Amino acid sequence: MAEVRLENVCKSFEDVKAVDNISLHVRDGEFIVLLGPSGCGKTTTLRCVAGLEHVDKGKIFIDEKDVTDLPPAQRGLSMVFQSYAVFPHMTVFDNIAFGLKLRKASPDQIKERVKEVARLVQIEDLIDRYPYQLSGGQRQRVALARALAIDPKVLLLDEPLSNLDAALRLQMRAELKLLQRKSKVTTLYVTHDQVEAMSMGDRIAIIRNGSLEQVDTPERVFNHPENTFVGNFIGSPPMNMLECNIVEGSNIAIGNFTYKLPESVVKAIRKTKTSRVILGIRPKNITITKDRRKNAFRAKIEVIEPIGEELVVHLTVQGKLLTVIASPTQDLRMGEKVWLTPDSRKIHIFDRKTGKNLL
Amino acid sequence: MKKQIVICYIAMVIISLFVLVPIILITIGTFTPRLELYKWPRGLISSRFTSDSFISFAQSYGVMNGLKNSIMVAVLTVVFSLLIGIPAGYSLSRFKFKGKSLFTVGVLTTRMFPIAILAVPLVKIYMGLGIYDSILGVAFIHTIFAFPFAILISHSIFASVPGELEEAAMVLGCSRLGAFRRTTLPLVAPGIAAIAIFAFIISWNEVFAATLLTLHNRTLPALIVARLEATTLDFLFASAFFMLVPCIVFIFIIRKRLLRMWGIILR
Ligand SMILES: Nc1ncnc2c1ncn2[C@@H]1O[C@H](COP(=O)(O)OP(=O)(O)OP(=O)(O)O)[C@@H](O)[C@H]1O
Ligand SMILES: [Mg+2]
Repeated sequence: MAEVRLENVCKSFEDVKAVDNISLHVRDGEFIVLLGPSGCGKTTTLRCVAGLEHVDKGKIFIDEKDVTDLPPAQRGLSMVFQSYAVFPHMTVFDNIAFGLKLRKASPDQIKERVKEVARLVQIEDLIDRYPYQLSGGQRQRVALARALAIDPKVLLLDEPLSNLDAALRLQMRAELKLLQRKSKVTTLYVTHDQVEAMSMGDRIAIIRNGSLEQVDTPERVFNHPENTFVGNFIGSPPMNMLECNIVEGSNIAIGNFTYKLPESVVKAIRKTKTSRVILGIRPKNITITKDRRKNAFRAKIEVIEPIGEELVVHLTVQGKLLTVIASPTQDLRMGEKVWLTPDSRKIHIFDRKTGKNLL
Repeated sequence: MKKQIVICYIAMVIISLFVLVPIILITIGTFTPRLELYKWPRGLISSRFTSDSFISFAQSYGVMNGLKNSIMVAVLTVVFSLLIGIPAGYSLSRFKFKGKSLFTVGVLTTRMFPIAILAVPLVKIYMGLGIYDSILGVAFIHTIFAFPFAILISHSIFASVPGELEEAAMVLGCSRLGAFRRTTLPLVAPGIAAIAIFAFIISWNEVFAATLLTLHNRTLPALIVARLEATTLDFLFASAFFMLVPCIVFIFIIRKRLLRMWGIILR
């Protein structure tokens, strides 16, 4: 069990800043997810922690011990690679036993431990096979078992589920989470799949262009995004972002319409003294009605996508595109003019210049 | 379906015969009585088995010494080529550095100059270094012939083994060298065996440089070529047989490694 601390870690490749001044404190036993779009530096961050990349600047601590200059072997952690990297010339048994043999465990101890972790990831029956005789999901378990066998202080997982099919991914997601709960090993988990991140992480660290945008619980990340990037990146379909201006202190002008802000929001914004803002509202938090309501604005339905339990409705408001999730029981038609009422408790106001959440 | 298999077999037989017939004829010729070799017409199989010409060739002046020299030169060439080829190929496939592609091309240009042009300066340099007429000297020049290919082949072999295997081993507790020894090396062993065979054969068959750079310590092919004109048929057969056998033995030893693939596609 251990905690991991990154302090102002930087890593560049030629002119690409892959990791740009990241500071992160992973608590003991925590399952933290590094989430971000492709190429944002997730893998590089993980490799820095593992010691496979030498950081340009900054320090990395594991349990108060400065490991910045230690080789990977001496950091006491395990890693599961995106490609699994199981050793093709060794049986499943030898793969799992690899780290134990290096630690000079006795043959009996090794046998015992290999059996134990193989049972944990449910591959006891495959122990004598070679990797080429395994399916992708089974290989993934071997990689996981190999990583767990040495009882690591920290477990690093790089998109371990990305090569699996949808059904297996769902199953492994639950299993992995359960496994981590049971073993309580501090885990850094890399993914670019926000659903995976939301469902697995104790906390989520959202990375963009090598910098941390927000580190928070899934609930906080979803309901209180710190900036427009996080708001946009988390949630599907993404949050609606409407550029608008604050008028008369408490109203928002969306084209010709004015939308009255709730008192709490007004108070928060008044302090910041900006009027050029972005109104953020999730598709789920807008109601479509045919009759006019108070504080609603007019929109035209452009496209309706039925996706089973709900409808994804694309509308235009004063030339701006908006997405709303509606119930299939509603009788909506393409081209129809309707009224939209945002849930005033669920709106976000971002500064248009900095993208920061003002609430 | 059937037809394809038949065609396959025919092709296999033809290719095998192409290689095997000379070997078989040489072997028969070697163990045929001397006088029978000059008879015409004569049967494919000799009337009796005799090792006369084999023994008299083996006992003739310089042959055993030449054989010993040849084997030593070839083995040294294999060792040197692997010592240069493995680290260079590994670096080319794993590390980024300036002038990498230039290096790859540059390695090949070492084979651009015909040895005939280099003959005189080479002899002069060898004499200056004191390695003229020595086994080591011949091994050096044979290594020069073999190492560009050793580098290029090992480059592509290492490129086919993902570096993440080593990294995984390092995270689990290996040093860089230990990780290489435990993961990459066993996986590239068949490829390295192929390089070894290649280097061995280049050295074993090389005549010109070996003739040029030796006087008394001739390798076997150099010795045979030097005496070619003044030789009888039985000597020719025996010398061909002598050339063949060590090569075949070496390939059979290495072959085990070569065929021991892991039945895997690496990625
Ligand atoms: N060895 C390298 N040499 C040069 N550039 C690199 C190297 N490794 C990564 N990069 C660059 O650093 C940036 C971050 O890469 P990284 O692999 O960390 O992204 P990632 O977040 O893991 O992306 P993905 O989700 O696609 O795996 C990218 O722009 C990438 O091109
Ligand atoms: Mg990655």
